Amino acid sequence: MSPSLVKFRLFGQVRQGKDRKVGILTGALGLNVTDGITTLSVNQKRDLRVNLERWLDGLNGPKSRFHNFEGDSIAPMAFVFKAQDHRFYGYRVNPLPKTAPSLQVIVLCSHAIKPGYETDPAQKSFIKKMAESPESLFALKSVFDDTPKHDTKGPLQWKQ
Amino acid sequence: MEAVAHWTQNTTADFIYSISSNFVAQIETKIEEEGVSQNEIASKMNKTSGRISQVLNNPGNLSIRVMVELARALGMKVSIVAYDDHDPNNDLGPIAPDVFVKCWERAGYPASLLDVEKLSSCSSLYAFNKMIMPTITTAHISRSFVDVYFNTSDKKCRQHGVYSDPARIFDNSELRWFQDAPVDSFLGRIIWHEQNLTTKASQEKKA
Repeated sequence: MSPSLVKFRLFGQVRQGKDRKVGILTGALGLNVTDGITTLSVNQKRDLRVNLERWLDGLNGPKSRFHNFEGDSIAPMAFVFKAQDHRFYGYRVNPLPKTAPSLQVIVLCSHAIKPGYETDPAQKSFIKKMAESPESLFALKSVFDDTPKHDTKGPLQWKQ
Repeated sequence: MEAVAHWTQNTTADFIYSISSNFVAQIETKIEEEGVSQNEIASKMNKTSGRISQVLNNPGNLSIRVMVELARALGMKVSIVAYDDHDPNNDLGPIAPDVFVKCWERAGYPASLLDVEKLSSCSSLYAFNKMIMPTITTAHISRSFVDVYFNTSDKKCRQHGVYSDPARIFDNSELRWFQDAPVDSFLGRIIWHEQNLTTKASQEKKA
């Protein structure tokens, strides 16, 4: 997996917030969110966008629309958005811990048609792997610069 | 870079889907919170469970009648709100109804514009729903009075109390005390505190 192939981009046409953002990771085997979206019907696409925006707006439910995996033994950082029978899995991360400590970004990685009531452990393992991979971190870093901005003009001077 | 329009700007059907789906999400939230089954809702609406499922899964075709029936089956009401958010081109899309509801709850469930004016004249408004026991829903304090909102088995109530120093009542240690207190104790505490302050003030005056 080449670092240059894995890319992150923000999800378009939805209201990205200041503190919450959603994007898609592409460019490696298994990163199939873009393909998954193309298989959605018109209403399923609408459902996905509504559900993304509900989370972006700061809402934390209902669970029938999206939920986290807090306390999960495999991937506690994982997150899923639903669009009827479709599931879009990703992980939650703050790529700007120094400059924007309250920022939450959901990095969508994979798509699946609802496999059953419980999420496939292989899916969660994949999300964990992507969350920890250097390629994903690099892709996020290329979009989110966490370098603190220093005032180039220097300290303010009182006018005499 | 050219700005990309919000998806609800594509067609009116998209906009309708967004607001209808957000309405259904509110209903689903209530269903999750109350643990109500679709069968129960169906029987209240004189419809089959399958029909309810169909309605919830296809919000694009919701009629106002069905919206009202759904909400009423869960003991809720519906308001249709037009608003101007200074976004004439709809670059940002519609605001989720949950935002309006939260603002309304934080304002103390005003039922009329007169209530809103009364509340906005308070110097400070605080919602305590997370800090005080569930029977008390909100409390609004100002410099001179407190309004405590709480639920009884059959209705929402408001209790108006007058006292002299809200800051001293609502410090962190005392809030912890209120957490398990019944409504009467809560109000009693305020009255007690007021009397205490008055006594203290008169003692200081005498000294």
